[in-house]
Amino acid sequence: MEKRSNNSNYDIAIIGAGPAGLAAAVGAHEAGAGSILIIDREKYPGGILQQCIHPGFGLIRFKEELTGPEYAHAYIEMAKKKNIDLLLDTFVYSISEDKNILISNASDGLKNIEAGAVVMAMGCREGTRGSIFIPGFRPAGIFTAGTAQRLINIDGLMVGKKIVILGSGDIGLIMARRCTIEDAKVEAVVEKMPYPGGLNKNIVQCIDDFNIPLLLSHTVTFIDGKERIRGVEIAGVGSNGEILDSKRKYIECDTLLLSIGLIPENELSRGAGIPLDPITGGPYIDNMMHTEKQGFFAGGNVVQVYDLVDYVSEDSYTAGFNAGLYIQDKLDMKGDKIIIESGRYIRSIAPGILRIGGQTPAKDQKPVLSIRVEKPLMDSIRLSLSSGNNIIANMRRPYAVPSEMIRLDLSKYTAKLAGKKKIRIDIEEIH
Amino acid sequence: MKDKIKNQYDIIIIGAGITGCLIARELSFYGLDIAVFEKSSYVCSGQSKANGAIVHAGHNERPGSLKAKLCVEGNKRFKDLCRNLGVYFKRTGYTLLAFDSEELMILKSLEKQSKINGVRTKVLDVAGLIDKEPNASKEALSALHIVDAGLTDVFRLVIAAAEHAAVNGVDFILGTEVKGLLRDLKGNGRVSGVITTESVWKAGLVINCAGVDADTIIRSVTDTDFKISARKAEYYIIDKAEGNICNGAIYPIPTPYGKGCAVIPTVHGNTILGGNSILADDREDTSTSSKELEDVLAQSEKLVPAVKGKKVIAQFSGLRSSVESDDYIIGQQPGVPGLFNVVGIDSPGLSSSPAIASYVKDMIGESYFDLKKDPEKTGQYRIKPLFRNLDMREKKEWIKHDRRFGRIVCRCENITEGDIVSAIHAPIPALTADAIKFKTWAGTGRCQGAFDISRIITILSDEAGIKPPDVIKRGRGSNIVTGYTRDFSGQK
Repeated sequence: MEKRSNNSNYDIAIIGAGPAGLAAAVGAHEAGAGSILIIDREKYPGGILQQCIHPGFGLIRFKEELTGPEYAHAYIEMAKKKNIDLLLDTFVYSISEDKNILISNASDGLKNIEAGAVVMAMGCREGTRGSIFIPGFRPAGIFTAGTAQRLINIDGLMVGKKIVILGSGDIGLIMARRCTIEDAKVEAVVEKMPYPGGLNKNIVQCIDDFNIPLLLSHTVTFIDGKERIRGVEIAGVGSNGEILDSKRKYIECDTLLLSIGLIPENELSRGAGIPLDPITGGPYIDNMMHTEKQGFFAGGNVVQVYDLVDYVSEDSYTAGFNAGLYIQDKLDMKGDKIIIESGRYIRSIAPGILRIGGQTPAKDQKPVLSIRVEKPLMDSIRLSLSSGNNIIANMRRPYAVPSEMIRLDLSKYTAKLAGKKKIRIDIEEIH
Repeated sequence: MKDKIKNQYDIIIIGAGITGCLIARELSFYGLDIAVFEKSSYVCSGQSKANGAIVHAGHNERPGSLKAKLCVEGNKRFKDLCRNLGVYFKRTGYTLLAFDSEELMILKSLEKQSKINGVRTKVLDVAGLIDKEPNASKEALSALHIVDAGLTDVFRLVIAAAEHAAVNGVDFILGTEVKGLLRDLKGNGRVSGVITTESVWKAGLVINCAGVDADTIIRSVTDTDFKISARKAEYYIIDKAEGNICNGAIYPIPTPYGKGCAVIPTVHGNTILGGNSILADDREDTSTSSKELEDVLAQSEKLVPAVKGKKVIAQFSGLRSSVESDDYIIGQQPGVPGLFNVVGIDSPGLSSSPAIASYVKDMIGESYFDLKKDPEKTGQYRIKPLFRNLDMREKKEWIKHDRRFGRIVCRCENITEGDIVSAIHAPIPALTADAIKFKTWAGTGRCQGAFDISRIITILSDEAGIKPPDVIKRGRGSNIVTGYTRDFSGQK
């Protein structure tokens, strides 16, 4: 991997050097793409993994438990062996529909780069106080969990001493543990829903093991403090989302962390005219990780928020590989286009489009769907794949929860799907 | 020459909001020693910062009032003032909607009042309204378009005015609260300076532009016959990705408490909704509440149904100082020579401010100082533009000159490291996170500073020598972080 380059023309430009971008670069190279460029706004590659210093990454991809920086390092090493250019500390202002990329950095200034194909790998950003509206003052001491993670793990700055965390997403849970290790007192993790937002292993390892109170069906209703935050008022949340006055309570704290959801970061996609799915917040995408805009591919959290980085790498490799085929005119997009509809209990499915048949080798078509359910389904469930009134296939799973994606491999059914225009996936509880 | 050791000035202005800063600028041309005291750590931190940045034309002001006179005159001066200072201003006009027969009658009387005040209006029927504002409610019966109203960037206007004054030698003493007034008890009891928490500062004249605190200042020396009540206005900010919702602001018919909750386009491409007007017991209570904001949303949706469901990125509230007489109080405090009040400047205060500044200057020239232009004080000052507002050729030149303009710090608003460094080294240095935000607009976008705050701490530390744990958001005690982590505490 080269640090600098004066080229302004590439076969493939990849926006983002996080896990998605790095895997896409490896994929593109292995598909035989000639010149590949990764652009990232940070001063180092690896993306958000570099601030995730806790273990828990790579069990699927590398069959061992790695920290975020270790996982990133493995991909950085892979990319280094290939002839891939890397532009760091570089901001992408815009990408035009014909793949002209306007970048800026301190050494080149403003510069245009032309690409034959683009892989969008910008990841996601965090929901803020303003996006959910928490009444009260606007003092110092309110951070999104990821910002707090960066301040602590990268900058070496401690965010507070008495902390309340709103939202039980994985970053919030990880930060509850991290702050406790840094001698802060985590007064409570407050979750609006009756179930946790993060993975079960994080509930056990970050909350239970450290005796941190997890208050389900509660939310923060007021932020107090004019300069630095002085406390928050929390309240119970009823089954219809209503605030329960009887359960109002004031907690003194100097810090509020927010872990209230991640949003795929698609401002550049919008500018490039890529159609976006309002449910996932990411581009509409097919099983080759091609968007609905010719020559634009996408991988990782920019498509939908993933539960595990291992799957980000897997799908982004596919995005890069197919971008590599595309640039050589080897990607067959003439296969049948099948729209996938979300049925009962399903919040989102990506890819939402299948293109099967055609000449592309089956392994690169990758008809693997990532499905998120709306609510916890703790009994056995049956996923059914149907077209009109015909059930094409039934698949069983022991349970499904919103924090974990269901990965559904449809490779076995591609013959049965051929010729269909639309299929639908439903979930049924089996008692 | 001012004598810093003796803490002596010709004029001390209390409050660095829009009126205080424009008055300071207006008086800075005359060779006087002037200081502006501000309790916040930066200018434009009180009433001036939380409003719709609308430049009214004067349709709503009682004919013959000071408000009407100064609003109409201020509006006329706005274009030149903003052009001279390098601040955005555009005459977009705005529109008032009437929904029933009672409101129609008020609309008619406003049209008449406008005529008396010399304010240009246009009555629109429904077709005319939809033509001008396609997203306005189709339930409206009629509308009044206020032709000469406009939009500005209130932060940059206050900052530019203050910087101009500073360049002309005015001292800005920030983060210093005036606790009381110094009074010469031997003579005629004239006010001879101000008392702060740390020190005493003498002055020939004290100009009270203290906003909601103005009556507290007066009461430190005498009784007043008026009381300032603080009215709170709450607002929503909509993501600029939602695009242009209206061409100019859209207002309801005014009530006795104000112009009402409006849908307002901004200089920055966002739309804001608000603000309502609620009596606030606590003059520092700038908290938002869900009840009030629901109300703001409901009122806005009535005017412009298209705002429903739009992505909101933030909420804020601001306090207005209003006096019962419902007019500005400008002039010497009766019986207290040396104390000059500029008080009760609520809406349309921003619009009136250029006229207030020259009105005050004239009065001071008549009664206090012989104002002679100092040839060394420049009449020209333009605030340094933001990099993002330059054209491509200028951008390339700026980067060539300073590479830091090539590096983006705030990705939502496209603010560069060069912009932030310039703000830190400006005539009035921006040394807090909020000051940098007000000056550069970094951290105001959809991620609300989540991405840039770590970088801003680093830049403030590198450029201004402030240790990261000492970086504050706004005032004393608003430290952003509380210290170093275990691994780092040994090293720093």
